[in-house]
Amino acid sequence: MTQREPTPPDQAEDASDRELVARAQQRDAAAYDELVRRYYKRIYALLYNMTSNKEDAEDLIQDVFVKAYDALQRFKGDSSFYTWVYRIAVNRAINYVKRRNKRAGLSLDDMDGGVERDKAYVELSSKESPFRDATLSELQEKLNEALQKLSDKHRAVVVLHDIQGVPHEEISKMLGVSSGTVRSRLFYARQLLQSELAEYAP
Amino acid sequence: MNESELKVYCLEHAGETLPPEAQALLQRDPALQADVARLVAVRNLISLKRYEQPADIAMERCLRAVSQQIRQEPEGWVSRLRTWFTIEHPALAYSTAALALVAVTALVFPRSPATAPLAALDENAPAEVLPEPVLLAVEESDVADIAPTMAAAEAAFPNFDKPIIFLRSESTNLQPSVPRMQIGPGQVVPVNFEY
Repeated sequence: MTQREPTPPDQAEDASDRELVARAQQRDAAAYDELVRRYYKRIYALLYNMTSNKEDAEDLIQDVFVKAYDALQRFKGDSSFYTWVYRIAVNRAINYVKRRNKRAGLSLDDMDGGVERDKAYVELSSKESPFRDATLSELQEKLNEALQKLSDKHRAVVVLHDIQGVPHEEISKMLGVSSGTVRSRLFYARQLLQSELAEYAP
Repeated sequence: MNESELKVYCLEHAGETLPPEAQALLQRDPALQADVARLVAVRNLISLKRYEQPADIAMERCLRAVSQQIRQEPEGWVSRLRTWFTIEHPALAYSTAALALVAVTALVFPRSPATAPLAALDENAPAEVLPEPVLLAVEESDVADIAPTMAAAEAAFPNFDKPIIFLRSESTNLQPSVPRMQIGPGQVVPVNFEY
C-alpha cells in the first residue's frame, strides 16, 4: 500500500534541509537537485490535485522549483524549507488555475495498485455499498470532477489536509490564514463534496 | 458542543474513541449520526486520491529540466521582481496593483480639461513662435526639372515640415479642368490654383 509522504518532515530531515538550503543559497546546484528530489512527490501531488491534470502539474512543478531557486536568496529560514516551497507551489497553482481555460479537461495519473487494499476502498466496494458496481476509473474521474468544483481556496485545504495529511497549523502557515479559517474551509468544502459525491457516500 | 463542532471533531478524530459527550449527542440523534458517517466516508473517498501517482520518468524529466535551468545565467531583475510579486507575495501584488490604479486615477483626473482649474494668463509672456514654412519657388519654364527638387526636399525635410512649392506661371484666363498637375515623368500631384 502506498503510504502518504511524511509531511511535515521530521527533525532530522529538517536539519538536513537547512544544510542543503544553505549550500543552495551559495549557488550549489547539486544541493538544490537533492532538495528537488526530496520534495518532488509531495509538490507534484499538490499541483496535480489542484489542477487534476498531469501535464499541467508537470509544467508547473518545473516552474515552481526554478522560481524557488531564484527566490532562495531571500529565504531567511523563518519557516522550514518545506513550508516555504509549499507556499510557493500553492500560490503558483492558484494563479495558474485562475488563468486556465475553463474547458481544460481532466488528465489523470494512474492509481497505484495499493488502492485496492485500502480499508476505505474495501469498505466502499463491499456488498452493502452502492459503489460496488462502479469501476475504479469511474470513481477516480468522479473524485477529480468533484474536487474541481470547489473554489481554489477550498480545494487547497482539502488537498493539503485530506489527501496529503498536512496538519492544520502547517496549512495555516502555508496559506497565511488562521488555523480556524483552515478548519472552517475544510468543513465547508467537505459539505460541498458530500453533495457532489452523494451517490458514493449516501 | 454544537452540531458543527461535533462534525468537525468526528472528522478530525475519525477512528478514535469519541468523548462521552460526543457519543451521547450522536446516540440521541440518528440523523446527525448518519450525517457524520457520510462526511467521514467522503473524507475517506477523497483521500483515495493519494494513490494517483505520476509515472517514474516524470521525476527524472523534472529534475533534468530544473537542473538545466538553474545552471543557466541568473534571471534579470524584472523577472526576479515578477517572481517576488506573483509567486511569493501574490496578495501584495494585488494590493500594489490596486494602489497603482488609485494613484494613476488621482494623477490623471485632476488634470483633465473638465476638472483642472484654468491657468492664469500671463499677458507679458512671449507668444510661442511657430517655425516659418519653407517656400520653394519654381518658374513655369522649370516645371520639367521640378522632380529632382521635390526628391531633394523629401529627403531633406522631416514629416510635417515639407516645403510649400510655388509655381509661378504667366497669367491666363483658362482654368484647368482637373486640379492636379504632372511634374516630371509619371509623377502627378494635386495643386491649388491661386489667382
